[in-house]
Amino acid sequence: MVLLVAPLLAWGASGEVIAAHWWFWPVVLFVVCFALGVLSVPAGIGGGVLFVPIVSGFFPFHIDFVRGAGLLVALASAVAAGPGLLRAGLADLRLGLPLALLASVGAIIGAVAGLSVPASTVQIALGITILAIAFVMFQAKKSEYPGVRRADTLGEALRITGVLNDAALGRELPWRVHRTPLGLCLFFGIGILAGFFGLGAGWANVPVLNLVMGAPLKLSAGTSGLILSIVDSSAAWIYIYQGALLPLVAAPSVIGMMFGAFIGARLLRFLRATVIRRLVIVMLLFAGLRALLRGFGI
Amino acid sequence: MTANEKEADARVEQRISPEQALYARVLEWSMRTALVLVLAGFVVYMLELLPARLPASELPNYWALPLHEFLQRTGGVTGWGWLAELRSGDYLVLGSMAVLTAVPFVCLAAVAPAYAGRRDWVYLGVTVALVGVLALAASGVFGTH
Repeated sequence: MVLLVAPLLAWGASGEVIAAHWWFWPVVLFVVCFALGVLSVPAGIGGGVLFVPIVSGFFPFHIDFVRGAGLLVALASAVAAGPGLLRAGLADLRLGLPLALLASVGAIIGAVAGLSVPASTVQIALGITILAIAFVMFQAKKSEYPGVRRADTLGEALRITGVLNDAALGRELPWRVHRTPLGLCLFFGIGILAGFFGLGAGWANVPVLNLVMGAPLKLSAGTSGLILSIVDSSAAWIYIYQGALLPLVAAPSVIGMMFGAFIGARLLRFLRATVIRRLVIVMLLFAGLRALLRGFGI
Repeated sequence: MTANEKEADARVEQRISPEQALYARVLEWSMRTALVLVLAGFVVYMLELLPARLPASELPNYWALPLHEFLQRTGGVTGWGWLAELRSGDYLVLGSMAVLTAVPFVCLAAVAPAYAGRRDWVYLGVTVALVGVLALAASGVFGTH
């Protein structure tokens, strides 16, 4: 749907429609965010990673305001899912907090840097990053239960361990993590990207938790949301303080994405996740190319 | 949800740490409050129940501008200046967004004493450091555009 609407939006950006009806773009933004919210749940991604490239590529808003709104969108989705995941043991506070600390510091650095760089540079960097994310999503391997035999020294000292109750398997799976120092370094880098581009970073959090640190896949996905909420909050404060949060852009985006995610979760049983995931990858390729072209002034 | 599923959920909830249960509880209430505020603020703004500092109908003239130019031309408020503007519809929405942004801060501040109570000094340190980082980000130490 977004793909169908996008060319219309690109055409509309130069038209007279906007001047005549100021509410046109916020309404379209709400509809597009609703659609992104529906798609993001079965695709297993946060909405933020689609939001920034699509809205900065096809809407008339300056990318400074789109990034601020993107952080709020990702934050809202993450906090809404948080209580259920924490209670079900599908997100772990002991695993998430140390990683969120490093990532938050990175996010502040990224946000300050992102607001100081010319828009064209940000668009080019965003285009490259989004194309890389599409590639990562296409190639990504997963390990449901990596089964770490021995925790590393830091993971053991922090007592990052637990038991995952997997309802699908009907089993209780003990878990622990390894390569914690490497994980901390990677999360610092992920934080910089999240703050710089205003992206939710679930696409990077989950592979690092799952494939690098050896946390079970479901726990990785849940804990990613917990980390993302803290990291995006630290970056969002920078955007708010600098005046880069435009209510007319941020509010319909947050509300549309929340309603969409709510419907997406209900449709989860009926939609084919693989098909949705492929559609999202195509959308990312399309949005990444559009960001690159915008960055080069084409 | 069947009785067996409910029982299984209750068992899991008993197994999670008290700090995690507390975090989930505070997150649930603060998140609900924030989302209701965002929705209410946006309705007030859209229906123009309060006058906006920069009316929504004028925004298309400015929203494509880079941030520094936008602020110069609209006289936009930076820092914590929005607190003094909450009687305007647009800044009321911004205030509700700030409440949403503060949700993780509130949760972390709530669990820090719980870690102290259990003498878990390492996680007390991590939590206090996170509260400090978020406070630093919100404080404006990193300057305005």
